[in-house]
Amino acid sequence: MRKLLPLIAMLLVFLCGFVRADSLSREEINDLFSQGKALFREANGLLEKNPASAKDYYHKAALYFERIVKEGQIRNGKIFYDIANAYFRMGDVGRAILNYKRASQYMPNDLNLLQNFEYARSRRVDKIALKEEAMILRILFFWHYDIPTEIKFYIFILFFALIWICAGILLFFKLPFVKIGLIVCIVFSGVFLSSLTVDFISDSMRNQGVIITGEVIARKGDSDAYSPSFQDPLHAGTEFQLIEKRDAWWNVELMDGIQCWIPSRDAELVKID
Amino acid sequence: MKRCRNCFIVILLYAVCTAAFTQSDRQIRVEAAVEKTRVFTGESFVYQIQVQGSDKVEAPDVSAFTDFDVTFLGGDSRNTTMISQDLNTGKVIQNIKYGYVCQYRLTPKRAGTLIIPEVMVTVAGKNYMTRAIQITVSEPEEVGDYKFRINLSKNKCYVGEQVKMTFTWYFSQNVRNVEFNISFLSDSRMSFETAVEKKDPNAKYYTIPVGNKQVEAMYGSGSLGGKSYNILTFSEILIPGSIGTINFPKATVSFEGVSGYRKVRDFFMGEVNQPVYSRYVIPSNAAALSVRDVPSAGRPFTYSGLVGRYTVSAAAAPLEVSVGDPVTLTLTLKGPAYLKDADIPDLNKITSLTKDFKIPSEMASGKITGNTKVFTQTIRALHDEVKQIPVIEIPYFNTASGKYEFARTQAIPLKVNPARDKVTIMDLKGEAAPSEMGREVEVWKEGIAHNYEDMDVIINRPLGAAVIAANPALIVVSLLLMLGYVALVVIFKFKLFGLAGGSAVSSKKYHSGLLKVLKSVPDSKQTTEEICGAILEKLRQYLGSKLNLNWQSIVFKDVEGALMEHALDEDLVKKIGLLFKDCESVHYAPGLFKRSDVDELALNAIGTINLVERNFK
Repeated sequence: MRKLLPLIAMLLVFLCGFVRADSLSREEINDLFSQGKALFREANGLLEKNPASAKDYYHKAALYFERIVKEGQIRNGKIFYDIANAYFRMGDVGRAILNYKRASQYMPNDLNLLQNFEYARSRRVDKIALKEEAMILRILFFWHYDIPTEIKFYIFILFFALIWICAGILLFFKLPFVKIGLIVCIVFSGVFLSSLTVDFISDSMRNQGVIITGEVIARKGDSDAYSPSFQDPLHAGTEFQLIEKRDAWWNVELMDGIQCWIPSRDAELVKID
Repeated sequence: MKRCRNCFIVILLYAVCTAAFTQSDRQIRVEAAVEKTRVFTGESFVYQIQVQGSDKVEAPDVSAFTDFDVTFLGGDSRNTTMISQDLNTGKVIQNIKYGYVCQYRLTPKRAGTLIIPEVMVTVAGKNYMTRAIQITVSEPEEVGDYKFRINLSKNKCYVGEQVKMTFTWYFSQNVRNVEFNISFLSDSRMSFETAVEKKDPNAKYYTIPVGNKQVEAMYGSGSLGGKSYNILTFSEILIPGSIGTINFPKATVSFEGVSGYRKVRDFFMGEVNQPVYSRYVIPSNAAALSVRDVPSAGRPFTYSGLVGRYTVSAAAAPLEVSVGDPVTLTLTLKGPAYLKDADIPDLNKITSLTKDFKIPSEMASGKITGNTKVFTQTIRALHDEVKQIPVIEIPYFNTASGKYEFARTQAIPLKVNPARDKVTIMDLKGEAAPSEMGREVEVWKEGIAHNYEDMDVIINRPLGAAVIAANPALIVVSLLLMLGYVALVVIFKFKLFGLAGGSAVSSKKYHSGLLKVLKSVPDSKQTTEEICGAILEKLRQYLGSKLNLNWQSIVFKDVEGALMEHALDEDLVKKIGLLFKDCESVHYAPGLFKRSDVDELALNAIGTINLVERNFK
């Protein structure tokens, strides 16, 4: 054991080193956020008079916010929402939709996000309807899709705790309303536990992605030698589900269920590793 | 002693590793680099400011690059971590190299030897200078297979008049990596609007970047100087903002075009011709536009700067009001294709309107719909003799006739009743509380909502399975509740600690045991004596557990009083007594009851026992 001590110490030191290399301090994150906010406001002020300059400022704001995500290891709905807004203002609908999708993982029912996301989607060139069965599932299991994982977890814990409290009370007093409460708690905790299990296992956003370049010719195979899949190219903001990766090409399924191949450089996945 | 030695090793290792990467922090170097040093006018290239030793870089000031159009391409950290092992000592050393790169796209504005000046870069609070870089810029020249032409719809125009500018690129060889550079699109003396034209269904369109925007260019074929070419063409609407002659600097298009072919051997096809691409930068022709001011002679005092040919129509609602009530007046201006800057005169300057109506000084900017711009204003009748909203005249300068002319609305009949109540100054100023006739507030669906700026934005939120890891306390609390329940059940089940609640659990068990015996009577192969003995035993166990008595010696007399105390009515207690008596009789005096009597006894006993269970308190 004593011989292992120096080895463990060394490991700890390296871990510290890695943490330092990848993450920013709290002060640095605060600074980046303040500067990003200031740039965004500056851009808003310039938008009417000097759109080109405003665009530069929005770009800088987006870069500052992205540093918070990449180097500060901060992940939440609001930061992705702010990044998306900056890209949208720059006219980059692809990256705007990508970041709105990232934000929706954390706060799927935020009204501002829903409004902006919907508006950004309305501005993209390609209009691709959602698969009918997917729409039905979204309506039937609205709680699964519309409530963030974190909130579902809290609800589950609440009902799970209430189950044991109700069961404990019933050991002493046979109160009918407690019995009903127990059944309700069992049903709700079961529903939310199932939803959480699906979230954890499927990780639904893992393979979702968005096209981020202005135009990309989708093809029937994984090289330029294959014929285009559609008469027109796909455009920025088109959402897809990644099916398979082959070198620099991705086999993707569009929201209407049609599959095609696109170069991986033209798209980005919602999930950030 | 050994513990001290281990601590020393830990401290030493930490010191070595910390020193390794703090050393790398100290050496800060700032360099400037360019993609190429020989370019053509209008050909853009990448300029980088590279910082080594730190990633805490403030945005450099590049405003001194006056000979270039500058586009910021972004800045990015270039931190690298290297782990190495010393072969002699076996020590592992971690070395982090910090770095940062800012990128710009520079486009030279003129030919000659240009200098990219030194740039001051602030890194971690200290200032560093980059070196100046010399760039040789040549004038681009036309090549036979490639031409670039600019055409204006007219060479003379008035300030504010819309002129169509068409850009056509002619090429007769295969091309790739095309980039248009049109520096005057950002000239402050004029503004440009994207031309919206009817699309040719047989033509092919491509969206291409031009300046800071994307334009839709038509691909087709055309001829120039008697030679046929492929063409890529797009148009912009130019609106000059100041007078004088505008000599447009030459625009350029840079691309890689086929300059020849070479023979290569292909595995399948044998010897084939493979195109050789060369980089070209082709200049446009020179273009000039003479911009005149609109004449001052005869300029109406309500003239709002409209140039072109316009018509206007008016609508009002409601058409019957009381004095002081708001009337929404809508003016629809129709004119040339691009109405972004088109404005109507201040309605307060139109005397025919102000003598009968109160008009707020503020007016919402118009909303463009197709080739019309709609302005709305709330007006209020000052007296009940008003019969109509008069004709409103909008002056404009007609470039075709070279004169000021008027677009006129039709008069709108209006019925104005006497004031409903006293009309106050506030009403007439338009500052009174909204009337019942005010319009509903309608949600505007265009645009995006505000950014989030609270500190929640920089708080990390778990996602997926990480949610569980982030809330261990909740998990522990809920598991403790579950274990608590299990503990309670165990305690009661095994009657540990003699808790009163234990009888509740065991009496439940004996209740179901008794019912089981009673229900099995009709199918039982036992004798009546044995059946009644079993019922009696279970009944005693049940009542013993209910009343906390030793069940083995229970007789009815022992439980009669206690059952009454637990809120059971007299009839029910009597039934229990009868059950006791019958069972004892059969058990102790066999042959007294027939089998069918015992079945009936068991059937009745089920109801009695259930009543006891339900009413026992």
